[in-house]
Amino acid sequence: MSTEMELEGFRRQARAWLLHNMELKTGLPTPSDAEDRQLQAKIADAGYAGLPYPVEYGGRGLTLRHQEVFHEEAAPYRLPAGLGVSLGMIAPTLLDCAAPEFLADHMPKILRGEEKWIQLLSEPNAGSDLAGSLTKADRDGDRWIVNGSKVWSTAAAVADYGFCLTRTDFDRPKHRGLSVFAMPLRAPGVTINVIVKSDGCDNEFYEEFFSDVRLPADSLIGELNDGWSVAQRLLFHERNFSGGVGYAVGLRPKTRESVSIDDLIAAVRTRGTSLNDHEEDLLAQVYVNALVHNQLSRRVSSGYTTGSLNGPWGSLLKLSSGLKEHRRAEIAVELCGPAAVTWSDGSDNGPVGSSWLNAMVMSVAGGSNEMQRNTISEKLLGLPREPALDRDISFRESLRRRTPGGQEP
Amino acid sequence: MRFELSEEQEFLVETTQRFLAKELPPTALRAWTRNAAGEGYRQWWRTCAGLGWAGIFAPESSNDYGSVSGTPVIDAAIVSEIAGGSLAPSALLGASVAVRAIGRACPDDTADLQGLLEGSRIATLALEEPSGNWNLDTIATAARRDRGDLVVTGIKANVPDITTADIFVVTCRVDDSIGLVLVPASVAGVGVTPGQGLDVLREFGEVHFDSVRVSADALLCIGSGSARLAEEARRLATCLQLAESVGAVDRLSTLLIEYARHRHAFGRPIGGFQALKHRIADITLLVESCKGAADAAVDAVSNDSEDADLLISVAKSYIGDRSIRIAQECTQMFGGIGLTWEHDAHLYLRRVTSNRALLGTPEQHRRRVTEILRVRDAVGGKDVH
Repeated sequence: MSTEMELEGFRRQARAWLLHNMELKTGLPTPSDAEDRQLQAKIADAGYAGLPYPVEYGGRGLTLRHQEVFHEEAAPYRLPAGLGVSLGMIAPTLLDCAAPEFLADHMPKILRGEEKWIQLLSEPNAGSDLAGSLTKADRDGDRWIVNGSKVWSTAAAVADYGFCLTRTDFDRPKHRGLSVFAMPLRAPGVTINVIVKSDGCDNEFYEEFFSDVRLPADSLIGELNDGWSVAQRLLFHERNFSGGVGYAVGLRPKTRESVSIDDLIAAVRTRGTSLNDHEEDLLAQVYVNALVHNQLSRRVSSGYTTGSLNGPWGSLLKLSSGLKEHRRAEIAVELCGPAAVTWSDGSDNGPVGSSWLNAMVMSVAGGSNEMQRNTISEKLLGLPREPALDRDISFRESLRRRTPGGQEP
Repeated sequence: MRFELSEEQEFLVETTQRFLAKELPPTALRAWTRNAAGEGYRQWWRTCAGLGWAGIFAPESSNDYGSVSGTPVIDAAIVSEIAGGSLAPSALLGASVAVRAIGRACPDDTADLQGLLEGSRIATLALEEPSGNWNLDTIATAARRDRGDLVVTGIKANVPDITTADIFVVTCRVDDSIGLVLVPASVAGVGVTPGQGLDVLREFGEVHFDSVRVSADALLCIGSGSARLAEEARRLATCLQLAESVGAVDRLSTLLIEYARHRHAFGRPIGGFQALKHRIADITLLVESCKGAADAAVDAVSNDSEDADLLISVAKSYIGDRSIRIAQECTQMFGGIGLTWEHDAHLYLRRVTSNRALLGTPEQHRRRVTEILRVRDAVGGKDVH
């Protein structure tokens, strides 16, 4: 049987299962964390979770095309909404880097939604310069003791594990003394606080403090002091997730509906006057930009599938999203005029104002536009690296140089 | 270039690239400035036609020509993209439109076709009018039926290959519809006025049809109608122009990236400075987005998809705006050398700026997008997707 025929058979099977077992999302609220887990378990029980993952780790041993096909069919249904980081970023990274025993233990639970993972990467003093991580893990017999703090972790309050980048050797250079651990978020010594975003939202981002958190030896993901390459894999998959390509294919809706300008039109409608030619042109720009972003995403996806593209091309999609969302919000503010900044209770225009405040989230979170531009120019185009003054000295020394007083870590 | 290519298309890419690298090295380009006309141009086009460029849309009955892959629109776009990269003088657009329309209307008309396929006769598309509106609805040129003949009257503007073309493929108002009429340049009443153009590697001008009498079968029809062929001609011309612009900005940005790697200032390659490399990253994003948009439009035209007009207008508006931004940014980053006649940057800037304005400006195509989506109605209450 040819691959295409086999895929079509799979599509029909998935379509039938979805029809009889899942609810259409129209009119229903976004699932809660508990509902996410139930939905994912249901999908897993039916054999549609972890499609491209090896069977021994709870997957189905199929292809990325199967995942894409399943999600094409599943797009109208109510699917888990908060497992993107777990399934689209952490799972493929673990597959790349974690030991077989670790995978056998955790992967089936991740794919079933039983274990929800988040990223613990950014720190108050290490954002774009992620390798400047100060959170440290000290060896204590056959255990590790973690101290430090992380910020900007999505959904930490309802997650089970964090993918935690820590410093395990201060005497090695910055990038070569890092290691990644699986951090159980309910462990003693972990404190989780919410970060209130500039738009007032208080249930999206969190910060964590670790005070003598004890981790067993097998929490180490990848090799000791090789955490930078492990983290790079995560960033690679994260950018693919932003673009809906690679192991994240299908996990973000990429259908025509996703570029609908309904919400924008609805917002303009409350203004009460019809659009002039200039405003119509702006609206068309939003539509064109959104459609072309999807076309770029298809191009990158096709480049990955055919093997023509290698490397972090997801960065191009991430930068594209960052710029597109910003322009979209800018146009929304222009179109709505005063209605974007004052509105009566119950009117629809609040979101236009918040989307403007949130416009920079896409261009900062998950690697700022500027970091994507570094990646694109250095890793995709081969332009010279940005000079770094702390690359080849011990991290301890680079910390000393940060402050005139020569503060020890 | 698109990634999913058949073996035959990979061969087409390879032979086209090799041919242009050999026959049209960058040093040879200057000879064509203000000179893409007349006998030299005819000879060049015959050579290109020898590679099959003019025959991509040849009907099945013509044995020696045709599409290598069975998807001629994609093959022609591939050639157009590669030719755009080299800024090659080319009558590909006119030949493709004419051969496709003749093949669709009267595939057995071997006499008309043969010269076009061999490249000994050059066809050009006369679509736009002095009004500056690109829509077929606004066409004023008319073909009136008279004693079994057609009499064509009107003016077409921005017509490529104006003094060299042997045949004008003219969009006309005919029988209360829009049709495609073939008018030989040699017929009485056809007057051409060559103009000046920003794109110095291409000739443009106006053609006047002053009661030009042609036989009724000069109107290309499928069944009883011609409107569909006119529509197809406009679509095909637009998507080949898009592919050409994509080839141009792709090559120009590649030249810039090379330059940024090798040009040193302050002791290091200029491509290492964030002030430049971030702009180069932005250009790369725009170039790749242009490719995605053009490929989607080409695929839609190739599949005769119901979204073809929408995707063409999306691509034409996007690529029109972004291609000139890419070309300007590249020129800026080349610095002084980019402002000289000897450097190719201006030739690319000239080409994409011309393409932006011809076959509909970005603003006109965005208006078309809103018309297709009926945004105006949606504001009154209908949904838009």
